[in-house]
Amino acid sequence: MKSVKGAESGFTILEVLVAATVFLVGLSLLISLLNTTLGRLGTDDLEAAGALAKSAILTASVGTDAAAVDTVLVCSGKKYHLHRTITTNGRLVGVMVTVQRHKQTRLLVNAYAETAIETH
Amino acid sequence: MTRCSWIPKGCSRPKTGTVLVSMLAVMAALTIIFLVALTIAVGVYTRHVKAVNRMTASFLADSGIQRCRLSSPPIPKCDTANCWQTPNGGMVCTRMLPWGPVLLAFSEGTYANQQVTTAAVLGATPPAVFKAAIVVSDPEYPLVVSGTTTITGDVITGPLGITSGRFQGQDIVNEHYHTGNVIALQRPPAPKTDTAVLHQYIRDMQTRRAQCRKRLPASVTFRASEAGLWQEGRSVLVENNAFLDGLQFDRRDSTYSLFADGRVEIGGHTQVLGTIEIISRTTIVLKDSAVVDQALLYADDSIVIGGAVRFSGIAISPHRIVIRDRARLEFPAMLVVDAPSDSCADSCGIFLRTVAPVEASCIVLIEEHSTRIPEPQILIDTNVTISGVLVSQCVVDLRGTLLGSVWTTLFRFYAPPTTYVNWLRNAHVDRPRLTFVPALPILPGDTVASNLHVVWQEEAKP
Repeated sequence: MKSVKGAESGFTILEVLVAATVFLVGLSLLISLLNTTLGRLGTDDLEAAGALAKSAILTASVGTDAAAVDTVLVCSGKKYHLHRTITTNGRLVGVMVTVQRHKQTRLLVNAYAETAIETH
Repeated sequence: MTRCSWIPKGCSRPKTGTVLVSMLAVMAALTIIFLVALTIAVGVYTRHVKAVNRMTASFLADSGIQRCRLSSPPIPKCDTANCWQTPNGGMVCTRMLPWGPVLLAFSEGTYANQQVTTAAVLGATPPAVFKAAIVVSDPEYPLVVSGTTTITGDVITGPLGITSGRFQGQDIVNEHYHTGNVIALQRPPAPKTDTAVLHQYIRDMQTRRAQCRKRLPASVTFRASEAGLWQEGRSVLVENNAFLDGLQFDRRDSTYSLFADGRVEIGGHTQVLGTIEIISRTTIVLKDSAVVDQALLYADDSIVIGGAVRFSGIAISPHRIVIRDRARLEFPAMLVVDAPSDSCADSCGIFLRTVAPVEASCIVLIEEHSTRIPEPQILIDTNVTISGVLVSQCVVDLRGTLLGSVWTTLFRFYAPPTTYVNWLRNAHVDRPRLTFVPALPILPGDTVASNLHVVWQEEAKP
């Protein structure tokens, strides 16, 4: 019997379209999931909040008049709510600083520091 | 040959389902990439959270040191911890102990599972007397200046004040040798420190020595990394001589001790950094290119710092401390001689003979004062330049340059066959050029008007 050489196999346009659609949908889902996760983590926020808190504590240690400071600061285009409270206990000055994203409740930084009042 | 009935003649069986399988494989690969990216992102986030919490813990540790600054004599007699909770939910624990003539404080700040330990040395805030260039407490002698001597800053003396003198037929070179005020008092303030701190340290140190469990019977040379040496307990006792040649020690989380019944030699490229005390019953010698920073040296006989050593710790001896060759003292170096009496079998005191710049506080104390002009001294040799303070309950022989203050009972120098009492010859004192707050021993309680001063403060490595 003669062997018959078969013609090249092909894919129908429908198969290709279905496969491409599946690929694109899956890829977009993955990318959006990644973006959402990174956004929720807020790594940039932590870095900015840490820098703001450190600055607020060091400034308070040098000497300020206001017992409490409640302000909104902008850092890298984002708004942060900084609250600083200063208390005096004998020869100690206590500084409490909290930082959070503006209009959010989650605290990014909750720092406390004390410094001795200089006597001369 | 078997043929599927639905396949046309001449055609081979098509490869169906390959594209879908390929897409699934690609999706699987993308999912793996996503999971890796997510893991990295979570890791970065976790590191940032840890960094913020560590920063918060660091502020708490610093707060502990600030509370320690409020302590005043009587000094702590034992190493007890003091802990308290902070308003942000953290915890601070501090402990203080005598460290030579000053206090050593450790503060642990804990916040959200991050712990930071900070070590600090606390000394006295310089009292007002150190604003003057020279303070001489003996009221019986005028201060006589000769040669090329110059003084910039206030001078506090007895009622006889300050005058120029002829030395071996030579008048003073510069008629305007003094820039500043002369304050002549009936009873100028005498130099004093709170030796209770130093004596408590010596007692505690001897207790640590007696309780030391790791004992090495013969002479030992410490060459390599110190990691194994202080793993069991924090003290080592060598019952003979100890040689440190290439040892690398760097810790500030607690106190460590190296006791030697014989001589201690620190040389080569040894680096001793941090809160370690090195105690010898005879002599401690620093040489070559050794570096000693923040450590405490105590020797019953003498301490010799030479070669090209860099020293910025505390050196204490009841007899003699010599700085020579090209040894370099850097802030906050403190040299203390606590002499038991005012007579010496041979020369006793602090002798600076190095050609390198010196930044140090030199303190000579005396337990029993019976002679008019005691022998223990601080000698600043010709061509030596020292930035800092000199405090002597005995005498000072100043032949070089002092950028800072000197507070002494008397000056003295000896040009055979004559001893010149309360004379300065070819000396230079320039108070305004002291650019840092000098490290000082704890002062008596009745003179404490300020918080303790932080001489140095550093976080221990995690």
